[in-house]
Amino acid sequence: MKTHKILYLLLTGVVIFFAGCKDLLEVDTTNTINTDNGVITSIDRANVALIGMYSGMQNANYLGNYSVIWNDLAADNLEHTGTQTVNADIYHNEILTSNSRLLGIWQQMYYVINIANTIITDVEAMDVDADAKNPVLGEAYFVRAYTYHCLNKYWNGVPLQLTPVRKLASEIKKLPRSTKDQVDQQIFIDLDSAINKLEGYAPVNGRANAWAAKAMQARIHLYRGEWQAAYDAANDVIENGPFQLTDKYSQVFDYRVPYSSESIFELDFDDQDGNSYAFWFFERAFGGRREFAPTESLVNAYAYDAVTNPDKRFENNVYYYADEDRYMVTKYNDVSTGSDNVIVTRLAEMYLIRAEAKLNGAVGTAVALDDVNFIRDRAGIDALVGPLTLDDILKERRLEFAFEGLRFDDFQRYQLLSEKPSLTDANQLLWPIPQLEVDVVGLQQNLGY
Amino acid sequence: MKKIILLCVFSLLGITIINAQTRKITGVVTGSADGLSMPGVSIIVKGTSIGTSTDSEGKYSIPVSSDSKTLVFSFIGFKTQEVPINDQSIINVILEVETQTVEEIVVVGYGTQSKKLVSGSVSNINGEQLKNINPGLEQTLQGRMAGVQVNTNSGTPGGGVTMRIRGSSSITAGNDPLYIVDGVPMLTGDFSQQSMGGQNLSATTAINPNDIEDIQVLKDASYAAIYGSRAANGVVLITTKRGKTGAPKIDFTYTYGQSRMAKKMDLLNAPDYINAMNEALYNSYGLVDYLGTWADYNYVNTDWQDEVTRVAPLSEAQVSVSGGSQDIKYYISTGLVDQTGIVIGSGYKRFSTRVNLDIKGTDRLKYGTNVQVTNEKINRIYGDNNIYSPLANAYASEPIYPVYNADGSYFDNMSYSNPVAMGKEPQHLARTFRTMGNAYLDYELIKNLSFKMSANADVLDFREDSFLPVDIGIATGSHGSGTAGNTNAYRLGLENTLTYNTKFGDKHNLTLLGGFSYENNYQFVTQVNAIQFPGNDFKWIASAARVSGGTSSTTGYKLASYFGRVEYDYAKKYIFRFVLRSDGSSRFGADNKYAYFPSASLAWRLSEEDFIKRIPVISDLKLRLGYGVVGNQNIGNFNALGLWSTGVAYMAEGGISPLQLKNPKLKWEKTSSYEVGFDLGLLKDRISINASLYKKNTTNLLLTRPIPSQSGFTSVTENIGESENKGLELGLSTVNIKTNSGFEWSSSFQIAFNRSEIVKLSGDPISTGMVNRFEEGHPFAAFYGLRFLRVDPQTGDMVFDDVSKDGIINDDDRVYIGNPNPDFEGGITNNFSYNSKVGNFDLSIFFQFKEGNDVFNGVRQYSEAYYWDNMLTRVKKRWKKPGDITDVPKAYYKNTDVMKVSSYLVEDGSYIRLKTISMSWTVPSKWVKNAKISSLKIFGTAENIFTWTKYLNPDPEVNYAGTSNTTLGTDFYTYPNPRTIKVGVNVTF
Repeated sequence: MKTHKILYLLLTGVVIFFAGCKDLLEVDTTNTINTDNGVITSIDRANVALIGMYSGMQNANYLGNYSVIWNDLAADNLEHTGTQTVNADIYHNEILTSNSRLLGIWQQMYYVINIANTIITDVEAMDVDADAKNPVLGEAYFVRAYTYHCLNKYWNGVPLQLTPVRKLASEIKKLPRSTKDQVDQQIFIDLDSAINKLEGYAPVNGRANAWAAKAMQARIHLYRGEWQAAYDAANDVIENGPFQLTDKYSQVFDYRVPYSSESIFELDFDDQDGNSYAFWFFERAFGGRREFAPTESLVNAYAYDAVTNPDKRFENNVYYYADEDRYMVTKYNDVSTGSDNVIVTRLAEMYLIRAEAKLNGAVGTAVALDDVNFIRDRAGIDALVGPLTLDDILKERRLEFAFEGLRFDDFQRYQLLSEKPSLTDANQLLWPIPQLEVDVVGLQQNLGY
Repeated sequence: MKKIILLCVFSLLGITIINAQTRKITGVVTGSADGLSMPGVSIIVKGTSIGTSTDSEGKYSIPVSSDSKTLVFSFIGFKTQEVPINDQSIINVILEVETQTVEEIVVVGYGTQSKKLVSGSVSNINGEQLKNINPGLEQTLQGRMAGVQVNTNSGTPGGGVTMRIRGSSSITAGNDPLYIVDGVPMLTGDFSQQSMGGQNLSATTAINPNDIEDIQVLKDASYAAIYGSRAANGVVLITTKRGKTGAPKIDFTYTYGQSRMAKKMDLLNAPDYINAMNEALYNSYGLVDYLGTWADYNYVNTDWQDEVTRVAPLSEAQVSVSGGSQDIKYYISTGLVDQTGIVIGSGYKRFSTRVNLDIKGTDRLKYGTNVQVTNEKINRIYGDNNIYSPLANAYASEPIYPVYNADGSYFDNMSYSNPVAMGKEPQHLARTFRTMGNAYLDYELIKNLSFKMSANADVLDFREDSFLPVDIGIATGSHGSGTAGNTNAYRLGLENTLTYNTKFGDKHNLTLLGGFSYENNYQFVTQVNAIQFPGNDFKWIASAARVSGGTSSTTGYKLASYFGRVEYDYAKKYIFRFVLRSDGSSRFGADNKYAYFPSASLAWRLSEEDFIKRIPVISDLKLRLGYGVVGNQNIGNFNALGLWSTGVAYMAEGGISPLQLKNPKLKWEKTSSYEVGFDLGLLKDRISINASLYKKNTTNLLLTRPIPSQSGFTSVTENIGESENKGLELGLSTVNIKTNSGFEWSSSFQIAFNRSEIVKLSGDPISTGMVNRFEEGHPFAAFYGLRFLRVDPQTGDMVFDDVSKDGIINDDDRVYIGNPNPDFEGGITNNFSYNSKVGNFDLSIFFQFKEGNDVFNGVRQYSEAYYWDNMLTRVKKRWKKPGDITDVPKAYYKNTDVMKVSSYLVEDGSYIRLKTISMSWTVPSKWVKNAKISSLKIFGTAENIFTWTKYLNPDPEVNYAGTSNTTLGTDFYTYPNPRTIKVGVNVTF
């Protein structure tokens, strides 16, 4: 019977079809990469992972906003004028261990570190030309070092995760907190690696480079009171680096013409990939939210006078909004698409590092007062006559780097409690370990929390 | 009576001994319903092959031998009648329509079963009851099946409906049942990429209820387990109409109706509003007559509700042709629905066609197809939780402002965007073009062993086009904005089953089923956005100056399954059933690729036992016992995989970054359910009662667990949680009165009690929506907030319970303040029919009820807070001076106490609703015979006629979060269910 045969054939066909399909349950994940097939399997892949790493730094919880803004907010440059309690707590220096954004910052920094760890481990193991490997490795080492520096300064000793995590359970160790020194030593090792790998390559806009690693060495040595090392590193960048101060202070922050001559490393933002600095700072009338505004103390510190003290930095950083008789931050100005780049380090910082190191006894030919006055001159204000004091330098740093996320660093290293009434205890100069990490990992909490 | 028959039989025997000759018997067969003669009735002499059938006038003539004792009269759809011949020569017979409870066949997944032999909980509803209830499918099930809980979350045309079978058990993986249409698993859910603030769409609206023959709901695991990893929330089996042998039958129905607001929100008029606001501003800031007087507003008194609502027409038309020969049977239909929403800007249209074919190739081979093609067009508006919603803004807007300025433009200088503009100016069109169906082949390999293969497809193309105006509403900053989105979802499957039927000995009946199925689901999503439009007349992206965004992506999953079933009964008395399904899913983790779902059930039909047979009142009695394991595999397509995502960018370069860790242990949520029940029929099934008691334990609930963030990852999804549902279901249906004069009154009553409890979570309680909370030891999505005690008669302030006794009212004082899950719910139907000489009259009255559920009235957070929003008239009872005893606090501008989540806003949402009254008159066929019309019916239906409830807002049966899994029982400016009155005509040729 004919149909009979056809049917048996059909039935056999069906059985063979399914028996032959090994991939019966395989689904193409298309716009994602399945880690089973390997992720950083080539230098090209490592390069796109680097893009992902920088993109991770752009996150609002990292350089995209809070790790920078909160620095000035916890110190005396920014006032909280908005509605979000997570921000208010930082301004009042009364941080709850359950602050959700605090956790977000911690998580985002480790997210970036995990990408750097993965790139470093996988690329180090690759059998390809040094010329292909080194730039990738150098950038990853730098970003890991810089990210640990950010963690270390806010929390003072954090878990040192240096290997990639690729699986649940097996590789997720509950690492305890390392000491601040141990973290700094790892940072120096990574910075050396970065310099080693990147030296000889010209800096690329928006990407880490060997000079940025040297600048970071200068900063961290300074913070550690290692004056000579700080002096030497800063001096190297000033004397041998390809950077020079811009003619005008405002040129450093012009979002229409980014990457000024004094920028050592700045994180890029563009209109497709913006941040919300200007949105949080601007008055509602200008399309912003005014979540944060300059403190009266900062405005007073500038002591701006159009004739007698025409500080260009005040003109650039702060705007007097006459309608409401108050000030707003104008260092970041692209409120519509948020394309203001965020500066990680720039040449002016090297001058002030060299001056401070020299003042503290480092040996070298540079004159501390000249370095400070060099910065003041560009700002359009009178030179100091000396003798130079530490207070002079700290004040100059405050005015020069306002809203760039460095002020609280100075509070921490010089215990500047008296500068802000809400700071009554040195413990407030460190942030609490997020409660979730205390609960899940068993990390030891900072004192006072 | 019995004695007389026996006497007749004996006397007959006596006669046959004497006379063994052949003679002729003649007669006429008529139908009991209309008294008309019935052509084509088959008549055989029992125990012989002698037979005939009635002619066109219902007459017959049959030769019988002297030893013939009985004639058997049979006709499809009528009770077979056996008539003793005795010495009669003329036997006229009236055939009765087969009533539902007798030998009903139910669809149970990969096969059918006699309802008498069903050993689990299978509820069914007949297509007749679904007629003329459009466009929703689920609404028709509301209150009709005990344990099938339906909530129409809003009156939004085309809006999603929440359907839960025996409660909710999952927190994150969904609680929607699996829908199977003629064996094809249907795509369900919302394919829109846009959030419209609350109400979502539902892919189940594509089914035309007029095409449905019946619906079976597999409620317990012993029956649902044949669908394995998708059956945890129950299975809805929809069977569409099929052709029957006979001349073509053309059926045409046209319905026209109107919908309107069933009840308005009780809001203040302009003078009362000014008065209340002035008082609040005075109390808060000492401002005197801040708003001035009504005259300052030119005596404007806008009733915004009237402005945005309307009497909305709806019309439906359905034509079907069905019939067939011995070899080919067909059912072909086309249906059209055009429903206007009661809120301006909203509406729903559906055009669908269906072709069902059954072809007999040879004696052993059958094949055929079921295909439905549907086109839906939905006009959507922002709803509920959105400040650009026409209805929400109408409830909230100040009555002191006009709709239009003097120049005819929209007045827009008030707290919210002009509600009329929000209804008329934006455009949100959603269109679905869908083809679903199968082609099947059924072949009897050897006697009793048949092979069936079915190729299934559900292909859904969803597209949406939105435009937001340039000059009013949300997109003025970008001078208009537009979105075009496409979602293409495909479900393709192949099913193969072998069925073996056998009978051994005299009384052992055995059916074996084995099968294999494979299914591939994939979905493509694309979207493009644009801004800067030239004006409101240009609504398409081609008109925009700037394309601001776009994306395209794809996802999918595969399912490979093996299943088997053993059905055995001994003399239809003892019934045993065992089911095992194994599902392999691409969604499961590498360590748990295959899931096994066993189930077993037992039934004992006591009514077949002699000791029960002796009790004449009992016509049917069955005890049931079942256990089964079913799963929920809605755990995300790729959650088990380690992934790095793309789509991250830096400096205009594309990059990759980690998304999630590989999770090889991830698996389905598992529900084990137990059930015991009985079915009882009394007085020849004039009374039938069924009851089930069940308990469902759900384990492996998918929840996230935090992991050390230093790993670069923050959490992992694991099968951690547990929940429990238990309950009781009762159904009673009775034929109360049945007279020989053609009058019948029958009733049915359904009630279900379900209790849910969260047994285990991964850690802290989970809060969702405005007020819902999940905590171990508490019901699903219970309300959590402050306990409001009273309005202080001295100060007029609200007093909350300071549970923590620390002198301040804060989050520490929160307690459980309500439960959105009802204590019980159900429905009562009364059907009356009267067959008279002037036609058949039918009347059906249906009440639906829910008791003990709370509703969180989120509207009152604003409508009693004196925050510019218009207010409920109950604020007139507000506290004014010391000594006032009232439950409405003193007027304060932006009263933050009212806005707190507290029991002040929790109301009793119990209701009983006169849901449907439908009437019909079937014109006597002799009146229309000349027009070649075989049946003419005129009918009218009223829906949502009246609701008895204490709830303040227009509708207690709403939920602002649509079909959300976890946000329940919350009203927040939700589109109420309308009242609809329809009339129509049905003609059959």
